[in-house]
Amino acid sequence: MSKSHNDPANIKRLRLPWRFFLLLGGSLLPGSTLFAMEPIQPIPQHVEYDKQKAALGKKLFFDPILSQDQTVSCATCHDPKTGGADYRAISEGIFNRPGQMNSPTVFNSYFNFRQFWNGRASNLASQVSGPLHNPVEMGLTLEEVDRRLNQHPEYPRQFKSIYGKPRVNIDDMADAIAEFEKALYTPNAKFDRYLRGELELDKAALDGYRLFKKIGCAACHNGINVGGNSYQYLGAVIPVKWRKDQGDLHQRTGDPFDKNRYKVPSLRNIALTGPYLHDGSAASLDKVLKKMAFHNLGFELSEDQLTQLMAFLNTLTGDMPAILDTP
Amino acid sequence: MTVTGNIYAAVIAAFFVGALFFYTDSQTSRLLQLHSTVYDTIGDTERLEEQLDLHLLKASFFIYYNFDHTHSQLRKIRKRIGEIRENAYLQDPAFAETLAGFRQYEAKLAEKEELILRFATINSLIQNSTTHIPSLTARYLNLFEQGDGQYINELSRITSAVFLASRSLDKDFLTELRQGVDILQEYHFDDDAQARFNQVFLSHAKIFLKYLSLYGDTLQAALEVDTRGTLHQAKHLFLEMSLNKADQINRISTLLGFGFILSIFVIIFLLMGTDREHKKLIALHRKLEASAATDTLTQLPNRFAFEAEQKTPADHPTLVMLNIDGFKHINDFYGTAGGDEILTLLSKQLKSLLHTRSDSRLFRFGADDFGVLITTHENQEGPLKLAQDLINSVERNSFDIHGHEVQISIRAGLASEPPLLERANMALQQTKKQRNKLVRYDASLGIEEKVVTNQRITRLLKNAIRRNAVIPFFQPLYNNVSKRIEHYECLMRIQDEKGQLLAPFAFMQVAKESRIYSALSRIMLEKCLDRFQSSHYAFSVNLAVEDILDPEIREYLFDRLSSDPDLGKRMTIELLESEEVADYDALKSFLSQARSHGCHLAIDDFGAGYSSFKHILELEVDQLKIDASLIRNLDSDREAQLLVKAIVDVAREIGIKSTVAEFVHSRAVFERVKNLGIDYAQGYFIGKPAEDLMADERPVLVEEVS
Repeated sequence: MSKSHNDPANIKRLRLPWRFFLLLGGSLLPGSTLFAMEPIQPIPQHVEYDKQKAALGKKLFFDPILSQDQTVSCATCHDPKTGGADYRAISEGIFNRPGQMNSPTVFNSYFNFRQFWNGRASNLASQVSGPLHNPVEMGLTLEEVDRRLNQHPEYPRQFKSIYGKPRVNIDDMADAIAEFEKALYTPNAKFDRYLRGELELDKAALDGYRLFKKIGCAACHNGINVGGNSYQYLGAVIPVKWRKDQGDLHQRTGDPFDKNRYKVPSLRNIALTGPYLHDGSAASLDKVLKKMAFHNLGFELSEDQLTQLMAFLNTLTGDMPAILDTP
Repeated sequence: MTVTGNIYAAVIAAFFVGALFFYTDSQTSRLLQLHSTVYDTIGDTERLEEQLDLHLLKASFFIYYNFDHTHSQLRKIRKRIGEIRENAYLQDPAFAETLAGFRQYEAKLAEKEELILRFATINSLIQNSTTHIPSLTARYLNLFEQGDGQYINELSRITSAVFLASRSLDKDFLTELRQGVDILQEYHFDDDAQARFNQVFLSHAKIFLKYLSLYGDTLQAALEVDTRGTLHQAKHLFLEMSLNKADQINRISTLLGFGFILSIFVIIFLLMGTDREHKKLIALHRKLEASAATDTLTQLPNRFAFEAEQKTPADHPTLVMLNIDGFKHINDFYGTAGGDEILTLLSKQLKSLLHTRSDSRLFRFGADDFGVLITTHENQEGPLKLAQDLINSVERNSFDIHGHEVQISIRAGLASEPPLLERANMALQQTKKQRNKLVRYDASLGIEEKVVTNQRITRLLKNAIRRNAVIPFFQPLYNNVSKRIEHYECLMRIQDEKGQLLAPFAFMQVAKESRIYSALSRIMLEKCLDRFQSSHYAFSVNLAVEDILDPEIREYLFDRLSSDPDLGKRMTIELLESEEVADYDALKSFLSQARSHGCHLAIDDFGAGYSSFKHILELEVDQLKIDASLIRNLDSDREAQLLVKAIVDVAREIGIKSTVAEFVHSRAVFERVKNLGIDYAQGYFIGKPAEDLMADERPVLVEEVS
């Protein structure tokens, strides 16, 4: 008898009904396996990227030699300490020249369908040269970047070992920075873990999420980045004032349809990335929520609704990108 | 170009064409693989496009939808098209149009993407307002308990119109909506909250008025961008071009296949030609071989044929070799034509004698040598009897040569062990020695050993000449009157490689047959003359008739004698009594010339042969050297004593100056020699031949202890 108890086949037979119940129960748990149907998808826990290129890109990202007066680096306006965005409403470039827009976060930017507020760059590498040549941002000519990189005591050797070319070239520089930016993903946000069925959200956050979907936020803020995958109007229901040259799509296309039309910003790490909106006009999260509800949904949020939405939005803060910890 | 050259050329051509064929084949399969990759990718793209449209429709159906799907779908499609454009197969200029087709598709796709992005914007507006309008209506009832029934009615109308319009995307329902909106805009509220509500509601309703028509059009346009048609067109171009290319490759392959088969046929044709040539050559070769193997005089197979046959020997063959006695004389007597006729007649007779025997074959080996090869292994006596019968039959017969009856006699040598020809020939030679007409070869004949020995001696002699190993030995002649050594006989010795000394009897016969003799004589003569030039002794040198007739030796001898007159006076030339002299005149002339230099003449081994005193008289001999056979037992042999006494007497009578007894080997013989009045004694008792002259001119003669 004792022998048959130890028989692995017996154990299996005993376990089988338990397994069935576990599976059944598991499938009924909210969010556990049903996130495929949700408008928001979790950030992958691992993104493949080239370690060497990313390390080089990191160095470049923090290096102020890429600005005319050597005061500004990429990190100046995309500071990892402030969620990969700028703590200022409008970023300042070289010689403290004021810029035009609020810096969008660099975190998870890889998952955006386009880059810049008006989506003028179709990928990260082509985004890099934008600020580089912008006279108020970094203000360098192509020749100057080339000269500085090639005269640098370390870059030429590092580029050669990675790209195998005798000279550093701008495209490779952009590629390296883009590779680093690809590594700036923030996985395991509470909400992602909820989607994966790893934890329960508190009632406020859960109510907030339901509200988010119900009142129409999710119509624009969806996908991995909770945004960043379509162009939408600011002031869709109650229009906002339109000015020329405010960095919307119209500035790029001239199409009347594109007035006040922007790339939807990501709500990932939103708790860290204030001030908000393209012009940094909303200093805090509650302000931006009220503004968006009014202009884009046409009504004022109640205090309860505000609290619930903020509870939900706070669950979108993920782990700091692992690459920032590596020397 | 030769036939072989043509074949090589054809083989190379076949190889080349074959290699080309396989190369084309491998290229074809590579292209096929690339082709199916492209084809599969196109299929993939078509499927992805369908999914893209599905995502679009889902986005329009649900109030919210993940737009990431659309972008990832577009990315995938772009990646596929990129792969197709990079595909090696399409780099062929023939596919330029196809590639242009794919570029056109990409342009269409960009157009579609633009419309999708536009749609996404409007979609969010429409979806949001679609949700808000009914919920706002519900909210109105909540907020304003004493609501205006008419107003509520308008709200419901608008809600219903929005629902109809959004679900049908039919502009007709917008008219109804517009009427509703117009009515609501006319409303004036005292209550701020109500006025605000009305404003919000109107904003949402206006979104429908403003965008619904555009919404439907944009969705329609996005779905109707002719991406599929363009892709289909590109695919069509691709397949058409592929088919063209496949046809082209097929044609080349077929052509190469034909080329290959053709070159194989050419090779076969040429090989057949070569084979015909080859057969002709073989026939010619056989003919030549047959003619080479046939004796032209008797039409018998010759020695060449015999040897060819011996390469595949039968079991226990026996060769009977036949030879006509004294055929040289027959030729001399009847002329060569007569000799030939005898040979022809003999061959005919032998043929007829053998014609009943299928186991024997007749050959003519050359000159008057015939051979009968018997291949049946009967008993030992069979061939022997046959040979005897042949001899008897031939010798009983007589041949008619120009009216002369000629009888011939033949001899036969038999051999049953290989090498047949050599052994039968040895047996035949042996018939002359054994005075027998028929001899069967057998190893005890010793002929073979002799041949071997002869070869060995010949080698040894040649070696000796090269190594300067021809050594003169000197044997003293004792003057019985003066009791002194006054004279030496020079004897040739050859030292072999082991240091062994050989006396002339061991090699002289071979030396004479192998023509080394004259060289030996010349060396011996030179060394003897050198030796005695510087001494006062008289000396004897043995010369054979060959030496005397050899002009070189003669010249050398007389040169030396001329240069030293004293030398000739001390020199005695010994001639063998047994020597057959063919040319007496030449001998006489030599002797007279020698005598003119003061030389003496001795006859050696006198009494061993049959020479007559007449010859000796003619030659004016100075000395007789009585043969060992007469001296050896002189002390006891009475007859020998009488004979030697007679010789000494006659010699004295006819004026021969001196006599010498050879082989004086004992005191008894020596005493008898002295008693018989012989002038000189020579032999071991006096002194053995030695390399040096004797130290003592007056030796004390004692018998050696043997």
